[in-house]
Amino acid sequence: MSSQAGIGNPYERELQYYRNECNDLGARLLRLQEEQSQAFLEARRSRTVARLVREAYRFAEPNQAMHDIGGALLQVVVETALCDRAALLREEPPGSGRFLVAHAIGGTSIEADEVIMIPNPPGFFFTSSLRLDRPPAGLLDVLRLPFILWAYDRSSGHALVIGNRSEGNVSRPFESGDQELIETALFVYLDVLYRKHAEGQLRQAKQSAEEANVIQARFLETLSHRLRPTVERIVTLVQAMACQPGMASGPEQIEAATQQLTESSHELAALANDALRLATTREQSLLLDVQWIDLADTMRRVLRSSYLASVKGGVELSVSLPKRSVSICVDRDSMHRAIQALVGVSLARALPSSAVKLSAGRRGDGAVEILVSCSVEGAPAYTPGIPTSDDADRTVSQQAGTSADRLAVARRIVEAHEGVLITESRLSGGSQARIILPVHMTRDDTGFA
Amino acid sequence: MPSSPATDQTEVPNNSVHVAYAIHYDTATVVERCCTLLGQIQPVLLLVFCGGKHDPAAALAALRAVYGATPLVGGSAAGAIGCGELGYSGMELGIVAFLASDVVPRIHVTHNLLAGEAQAGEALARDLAGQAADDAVVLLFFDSVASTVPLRLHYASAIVEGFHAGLGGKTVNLIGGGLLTDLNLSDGWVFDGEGVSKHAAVALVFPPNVRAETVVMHGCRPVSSFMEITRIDGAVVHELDGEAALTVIERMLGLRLGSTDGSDLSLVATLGEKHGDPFAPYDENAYVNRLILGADRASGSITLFEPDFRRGTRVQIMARDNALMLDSVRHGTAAVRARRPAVKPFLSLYIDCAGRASARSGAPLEEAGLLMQDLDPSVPLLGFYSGVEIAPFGSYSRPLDWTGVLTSLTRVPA
Repeated sequence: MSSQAGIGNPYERELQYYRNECNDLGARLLRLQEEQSQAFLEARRSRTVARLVREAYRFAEPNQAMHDIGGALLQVVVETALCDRAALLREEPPGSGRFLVAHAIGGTSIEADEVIMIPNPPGFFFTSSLRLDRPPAGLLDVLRLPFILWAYDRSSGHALVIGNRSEGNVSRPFESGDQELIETALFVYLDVLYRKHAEGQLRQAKQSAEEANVIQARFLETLSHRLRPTVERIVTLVQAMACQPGMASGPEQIEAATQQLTESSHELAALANDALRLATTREQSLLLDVQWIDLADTMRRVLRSSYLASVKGGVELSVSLPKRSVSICVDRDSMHRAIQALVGVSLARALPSSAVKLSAGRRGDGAVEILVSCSVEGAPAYTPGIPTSDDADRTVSQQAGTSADRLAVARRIVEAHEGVLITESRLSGGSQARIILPVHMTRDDTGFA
Repeated sequence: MPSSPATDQTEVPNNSVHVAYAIHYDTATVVERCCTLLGQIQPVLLLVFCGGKHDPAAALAALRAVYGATPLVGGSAAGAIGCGELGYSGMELGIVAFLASDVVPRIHVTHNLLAGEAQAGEALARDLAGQAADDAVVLLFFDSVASTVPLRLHYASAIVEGFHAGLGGKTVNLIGGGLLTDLNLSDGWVFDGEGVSKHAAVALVFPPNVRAETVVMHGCRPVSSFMEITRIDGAVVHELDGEAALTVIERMLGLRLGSTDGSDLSLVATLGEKHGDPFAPYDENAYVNRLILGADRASGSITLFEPDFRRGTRVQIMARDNALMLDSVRHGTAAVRARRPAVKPFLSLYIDCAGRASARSGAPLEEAGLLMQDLDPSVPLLGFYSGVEIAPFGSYSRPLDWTGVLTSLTRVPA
C-alpha cells in the first residue's frame, strides 16, 4: 500500500500505518503458511515412492493370488499418486509394439484386453504443458488423457502408465523427477510377479517330485507282483529238475520245461525292458525344436488324432478354440504329444456317452491355458495314489501305457516348455487337466480364430 | 482421546443404522466388502457415498443385487471417511444403512438444477414444506459440477437461497454438501432414490423425533484489513476498493494466484466476510469464507466458489492455516464430547471440504483422521469429502467453504 503521506489528520495517518503493518504481517504469515504447506506436500511426494514400495511388496504374500496383483498394484499407485487413471499393459509378443491393457483403473473408456499399438515405446516418458516435444505415437491412446507418466520394461514387455486430466489443483504437472516413481512401481510389480511365478514353479516341482515318488513306488510294487511268480516258477522248476533228475527224460517233459523257462525268461525280459523304458523316459532330457505355432492348429491336430479313440469309446470329443488367435512358442510334436496324452487319459477313463472337451484361452495374468476336461468318468483320471486291485492284475507292460505314465510324459514336456501342468479330479466325477504356458511363451496374433 | 461411555447418557443398542466403509478398485468387490461389513440386514434406506472412479451404474446394480429395491440416495464423493479409515483416491465406498423406520428420512428430489439453481431449490422446498415438521432435520445433497469446460458449479448459495424462499416461513435444520467425483472438481452425480442423476438435488427430511447437533470446523484466519467489494457480477469479483481484485490480492500477498493457469483452484487464500461486530475479537464461527475458484488475468477478476457476496460487502483476505484447522477439529470434537446429550446419537455425519485433505492442504495430519480418533467410537460415523458444505449459520443455513461440518443425529425419546 502507498504511504498515504498526504493525509493530514494524525489519527488517519496512524490508522493507515497500522493498517499497512497489519497487511504486511498478514501477507508474511500467509506466505510462511504457504511455504510450510508446500514443504509438506514436497515431503509427502518424496515419501510416495517409499510408501508405494512398502504397500506393493505386501502383494508378495502367499495368500495374494497372482491374477489379483496387477489390479491391486494399480490401486496402490492411484492412491499414492492421486492420479485420474492408470493402466498396466503387456506387449504381445515382446518387441512388437502391440500392447494389451491387462488392468486399468479410472474410467469407462479403458477396457481390459483392449489392444493399442505403440510402435516405438519409450522406456520412460511424460507429457506436460511445459514440454513441447510430441509423445511417441499411440502413447496417449492408452488413457486418453493429455498428461501422462509412462514406464516400459523392454525385456519383459510390461508397461505402466498413469495420467491426469489437468495439471491444476491436486494434480501437479509431471516432471522428469517422476521417473523414479513410475519405474519403481513397474519394477516392483514385475518383481512381485516373478516371485509369484517362482513360487508356483517351486510348488509344482514339489508336486512333481511327490508324484514321481508315488509312480516309482507303484511301479516297484507292480514289478514285485509280476516278478515274484515268474521267479518262483523258475525256482520250482529248477528244484524239481534237481530233485528228480529223471523227470526230464521224455521229450514232452523236456518241451514243457523248456516252454516254462522260455515264457518266464520272456516275462523277465519284458519286465526289464519296461523298467529300462520308464527310467529312460524319466531321465532322458527332451530335445526341443521350439518355434511359434498356431495353438488352434495344434488343437485341431489333437482332435484328428484322438477322434477314432473317442468314437470307439462312445465318448463325445469336442474342441473349443481360443477366441483370439494365439501362437505358442513350443516344440510342435512334443506339445502335440503332451496334449494328446491328456486327451487320451480322459478318453480312456471316460464312461460311454460322456464328453471330453479340449479348450484354450488366455488368463488374466496373460498366461495361456489349455484345458482338457471330462464330464463323467469311470474312475478319477488324475489321482496319483496306491494302485487299485485292477492295476495290480495288469501286466507291467500294460501299466507302462496307463494314465500315470502318460501324465508323467505330458508333465515332462510341459515343464520343459517352462509351463505348468495341473490335474484335478472331482469327487462327483469328472476331472480336468490344465497346461499353463507362461506369457513369454505365447503371443496374440492379429485376427480372430 | 475418545470419551468413555457417559454414565448420564441413555445407552440404546444401535439398531437404527449400520455404517460401512471400504476401498477397492473393483466396483463389485468394494460393494461386496461394504455389504459384508453391514452384516445380514434388511435396510429401509441406504445413504451411499461412492468414489468417483467407480461407475455409478455398476455400483447401483451391485447394491441392487444385494438390497433389491431399497431406496438408495447419496452420490459421488471425492473420498469417504468411516470405520476408522479414510481415503480420497476415488475408489472408496461409504454406506449408512437405515434400519429403524422411525428414523428414516423421507426423500424429495429435484432434477432441475441446470435450468436454475434457485428455482430448483425453491421447488424442492415447496415440495417438502408440507410434510416437514417445524425444525425438522433436512439433509441436502446435490452434484456440484454443472459443466466441466468451462468449469461452472451448481452454486449452493443459490440453491439454499431458493430453498429458504420455498419453505414459506417454515424453519428447518438444513445441513448438506455438494458432491464431487474427485479433488479436482471434475464431475459429480447423485443417487436420487431411483437411479443416477446429474443436475439433481436430493433432500432427506427426517421425522420430528430426530434432532441434529452440528459443529462447524474451520481453518482460516484473516491476514488483511477490511476491503470493500466495489464491483461484482455473480461469483466474479472485479474490484476491491476500486482496484482490480486480482491486482489487489496479489500485491497484498506478494504471491501469484494459481500455479499453471488461471483456471486453477487457488487454495492459497480465501475471501472472508465477518458477520456480527466487525471489530470483535477473532472468532472462526463469525466468518463465511469463499474459496477462489479461478483468476482471469486479462480482466483482473477472481471467481469465487459461490455468488453470494454483494457489492458493498466488506471482506478480508483469509489465509488457510493448517494448524488452526487441526485445532478447530480438536475443539469441535471436544465440544461434541462435552455436550453429552441425554440420548447417545445414533449417527454422526461428517461433511468435509475436499480441500482440507492432507494431499490438497499440505496439512501434516489428516484432520478427518484426527476427528475419528477424538470422537466416541461407539457412535457410527460416516463422512465424505465434499465440494461445499451447508450448515446452520446463526438462524439460517448457509453454504460454507473450507469447513468440516459434523452433525450428530439423535432420536428424541417420545
